[in-house]
Amino acid sequence: MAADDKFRHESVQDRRSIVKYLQALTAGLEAGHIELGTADHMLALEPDGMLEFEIHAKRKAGRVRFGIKLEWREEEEEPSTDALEIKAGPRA
Amino acid sequence: MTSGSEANAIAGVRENFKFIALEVTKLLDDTRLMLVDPREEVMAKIVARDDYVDNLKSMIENKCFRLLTNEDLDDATVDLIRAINVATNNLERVADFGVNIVGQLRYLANLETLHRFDATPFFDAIFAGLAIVEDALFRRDMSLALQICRAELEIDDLYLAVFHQIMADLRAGQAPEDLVTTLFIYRYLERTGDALLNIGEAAIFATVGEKLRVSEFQALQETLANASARADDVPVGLDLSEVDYQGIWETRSGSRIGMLHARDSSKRSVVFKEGRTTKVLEEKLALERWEQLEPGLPPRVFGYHDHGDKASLLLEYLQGDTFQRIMLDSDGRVCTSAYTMVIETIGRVWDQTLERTPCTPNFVRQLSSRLPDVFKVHPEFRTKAARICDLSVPGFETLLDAAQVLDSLLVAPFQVLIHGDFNTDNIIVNLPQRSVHLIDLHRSRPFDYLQDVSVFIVSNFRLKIFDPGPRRRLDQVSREFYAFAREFADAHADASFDARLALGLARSLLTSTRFVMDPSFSRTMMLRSCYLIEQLLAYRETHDIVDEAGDWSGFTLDLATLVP
Repeated sequence: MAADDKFRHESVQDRRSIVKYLQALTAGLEAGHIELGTADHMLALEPDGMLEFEIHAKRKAGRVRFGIKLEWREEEEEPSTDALEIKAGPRA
Repeated sequence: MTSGSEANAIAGVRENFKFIALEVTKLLDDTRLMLVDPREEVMAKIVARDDYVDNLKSMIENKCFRLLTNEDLDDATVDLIRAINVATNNLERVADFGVNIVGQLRYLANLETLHRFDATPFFDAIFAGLAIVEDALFRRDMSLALQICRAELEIDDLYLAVFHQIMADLRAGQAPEDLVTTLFIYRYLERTGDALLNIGEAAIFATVGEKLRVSEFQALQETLANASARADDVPVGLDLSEVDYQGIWETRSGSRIGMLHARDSSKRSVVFKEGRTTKVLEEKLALERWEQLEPGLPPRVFGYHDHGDKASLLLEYLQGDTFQRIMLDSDGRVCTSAYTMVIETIGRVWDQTLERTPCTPNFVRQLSSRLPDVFKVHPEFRTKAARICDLSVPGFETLLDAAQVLDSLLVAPFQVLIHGDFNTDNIIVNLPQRSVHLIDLHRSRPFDYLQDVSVFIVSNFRLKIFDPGPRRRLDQVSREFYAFAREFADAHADASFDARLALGLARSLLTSTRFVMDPSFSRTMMLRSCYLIEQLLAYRETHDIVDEAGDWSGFTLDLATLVP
């Protein structure tokens, strides 16, 4: 993913319509493939391995904020001379 | 400043130092007289001398600090100046103790109690020490320095005898007020001994250039002497006067490690270790065991010296780099070659030492014993139970309590000789000679090999290195090492490999957080540890495992857990 790969979507919904969003995300998470984007720029995420998962909620002066956050590291793909070249079976 | 003017400046300091030592000696001699026969005029002399000592001290201090601003000073001169400063401060304290002693006299109802004790041997020991401080320091004379240090031992013995006598007299109810005052007076004499010890140690510092406590110094000297005595098979033959001592670090277990480099470059360098006898002896026995298994794999033992509760070892200084350094600094090809050498060595050790004796690694118990230390650094780990809709999530400590059952369910079918602290910086690789060495073997024992495997993997994990190159090498080595160990497990029917390794990793990840101050990284490690435990507990429940015969072969360790 390039450093400037970003996506943001805002809307106003009711409870029922939000559940549709969450179901779409759940299905993407289960498949390990979440596609997000606009007509001219799509972003494909592949959550895998260990994901940091945070749920936070805050109520202050009658205003409530509730958030779910996922964070993970992606393997960099470009090949490198830094890598080890282990080919044969490890044991002599 | 030229070296000539520097020598002049030091000669000037020496002149002042000679006077302060002399003045302190006279002041204490007056103190001695006062104890025998308190007289006003002697008291006045003491007060005047004390002022003079204070002035001399300031003068020496000023000169020392001014000298130190010269950036061209060599290390030995800087060490000498530091030592002069320490010695001067302690001389001034000795003068203060003298003043304090005579200050106590006015609290005595009569001198009879005081005169029942003989202060002469105390003063003799003190004067003997004071007489040689200048030469010990400025001539950097080690035997004089040690002589000063020994004065403290002598004074301590004298004090102990007086102390016991005073306690006995107090119990008998004789003149308790005067006895207490007498005790205070002798206590100042005892503290004078402590100040002399500081001076002796400063003189040693000026000579060897390293802050060594005198007991350590003696250990070093005796260990070297013993090693030289067996010179037929040992290429050491070092004498303290021919070596530079370089302290490396004070380890967490309280032992001290130093390196001795011979000034004569044809002689090899050695490592000196000193610590609690039980630990040092353990290490020596382990080293001998490994040497027998594969000569040259551990460092050779050149000397061992046991001096009561402390002991010291003199070891071969191994040439090469730690495997950790190689992973961080070398390119992929070099790293591959080092890695291959490491696993070939470990594979041989495992093959040769495998015993078909089941072994319970008790990873949770190991973890629990470190937990108080973990909480000291990370009190934020004590999380409370949480509820998310219908889901209950246990708090951290509750999860660990629940994990205790895993110890008895996870048993290795065999054991091998493990390293016991298999961090990647305890592996030395000599690339040109294609040899691998293991150091810090004091925790080595026959045990579950996954103890070493998990420590190895976590020692890569916990390095806070995120540069893509080195991080990729660290991660790759961890995955390869997993594959290597997995192959060994398959060849020896170790069905609970993944499950035990998961618990071993959970243990190492969590216990390592006590060395990781970064709040976000330590949290990552702690959460990873919890994840592994949750997976194991969930598997146990769904597969109804109730004893060590339970089948863990279906448990799969997600390889993503091996790397950060």
